[in-house]
Amino acid sequence: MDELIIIQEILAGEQDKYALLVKKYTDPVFRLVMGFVHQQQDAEDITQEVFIRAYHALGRFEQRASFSTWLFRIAINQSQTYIKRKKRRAAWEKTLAFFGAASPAGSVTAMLDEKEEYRVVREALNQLPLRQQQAFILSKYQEMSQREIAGLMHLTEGAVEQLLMRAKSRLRDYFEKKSPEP
Amino acid sequence: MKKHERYEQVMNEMIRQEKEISPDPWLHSRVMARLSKPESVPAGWLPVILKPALAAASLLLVLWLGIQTGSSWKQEQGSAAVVLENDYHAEHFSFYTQAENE
Repeated sequence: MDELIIIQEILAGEQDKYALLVKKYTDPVFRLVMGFVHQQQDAEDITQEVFIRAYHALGRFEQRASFSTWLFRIAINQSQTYIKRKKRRAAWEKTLAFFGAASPAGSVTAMLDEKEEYRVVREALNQLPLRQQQAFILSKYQEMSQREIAGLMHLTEGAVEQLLMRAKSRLRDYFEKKSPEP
Repeated sequence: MKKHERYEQVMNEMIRQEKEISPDPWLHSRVMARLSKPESVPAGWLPVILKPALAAASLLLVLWLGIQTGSSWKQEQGSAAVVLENDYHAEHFSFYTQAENE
């Protein structure tokens, strides 16, 4: 069934039809969000939130882009909001730990459990500027072409190519700094 | 191998692994269940304006009640002063030395 017809029916009051869109796009949205947060549970929570917000914003979907493009934009915004919130929380916990008010035991345990190299890679991805990060994740996790990325990010293909080149260069520099001396 | 190449290999492996993770197969049910609850409706413009308006109205009400309470207490003080004035004459020594009062 055509997506636009489904959306019109949902807006007409057939809420149950929304489940069709959710089932269709759960995997791609989840995969995209995983590229930002790297934790399954968090990615599921954010994915759920993406669909809730998309449902309530359905009346504002103007059909200038495809539904998937519009949905991915919501997913990117939600993911980056989550990352900012997590950084603020981590900074606050560090402050509390400094004054002895809170033990960072939880985060230390998590750090011990995971591989050091994976942690460095996640840090490298998180330190990318927002647009470079978006382009990189859309390219690597969603396997989108530069043309598709350009359409989603409202950029030219040349600009997307530049973003991807700079992202790779920045990641390389980060890994160089983190690599132990021979 | 160059220094950064090891990390790039790890990154590619991590991306491959994360792309293979599947979400909860019942996630769509969780979404629909949340949408069916009344509280799933996000706050519109009305609550955004209503909350500060209610807070301001509560503050004004408390201030008004305080002013009203203070005003009524002053009135009570006025009637008590009249009684004290009468007591003064009864306690004045000249009241007891006047011959016509014996």
